Amino acid sequence: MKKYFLGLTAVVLALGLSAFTPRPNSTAFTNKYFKYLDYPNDINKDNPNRYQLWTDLGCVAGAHRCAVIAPSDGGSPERPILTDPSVVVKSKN
Amino acid sequence: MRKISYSWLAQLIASIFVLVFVYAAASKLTASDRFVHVLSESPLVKDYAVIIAWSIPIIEILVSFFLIIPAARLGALLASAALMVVFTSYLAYMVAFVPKLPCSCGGILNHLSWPAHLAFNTLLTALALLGIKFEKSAKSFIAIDRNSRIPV
Repeated sequence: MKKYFLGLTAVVLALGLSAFTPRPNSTAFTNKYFKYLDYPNDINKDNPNRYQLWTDLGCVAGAHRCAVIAPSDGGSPERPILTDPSVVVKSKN
Repeated sequence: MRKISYSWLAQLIASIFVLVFVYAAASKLTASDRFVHVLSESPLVKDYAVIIAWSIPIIEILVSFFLIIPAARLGALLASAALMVVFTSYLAYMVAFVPKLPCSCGGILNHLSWPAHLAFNTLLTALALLGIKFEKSAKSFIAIDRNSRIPV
């Protein structure tokens, strides 16, 4: 048992540290509504800098991108994380 | 005295890695969605973000388990060194080639900047290599003693 003492102490310490490490505010990763600024031109649809945090525009379906619902990167200003699998694209004609 | 020294040093280094790996694995598993987000922003690994987000903590826990067991310690130290080389290379690539680094959110280590994290990982890699050296020295010393037929 003595030869395992140091290792087991390390495990207990690590779990204790992890338990007492405060988790950061997760609101930065909540999906939000971002308006696509270059509508109806889809050329910049993959560029997060061409989106702006907005309220629901009511876009449902259509030929051109109107907005996305995506996680925010938490930056200032907030931009959508377009590569996230949970991204929902909103479009209109 | 020398035998105790090498073996004890190797055990100490192994314990440091147990601490680091278990803490890191616990942090990643309790905030897996965040870890997936960060990985999906990396151009290098974004296509495999989910697989990597789950496999890395599992590997870290397995390596930690084997680091505690004296008979498996050398192999586990080799695995630790390999892991640190991979992590350090990833960090170096991100710092050198990615203009907009993803946010590092959560955990004590993630309060470090990316370059500081790179320095920390480099230090751990060197520590792993040192641990391998001490463990090998401890084992070879014991082997020599067994061959001499003289009780120690």
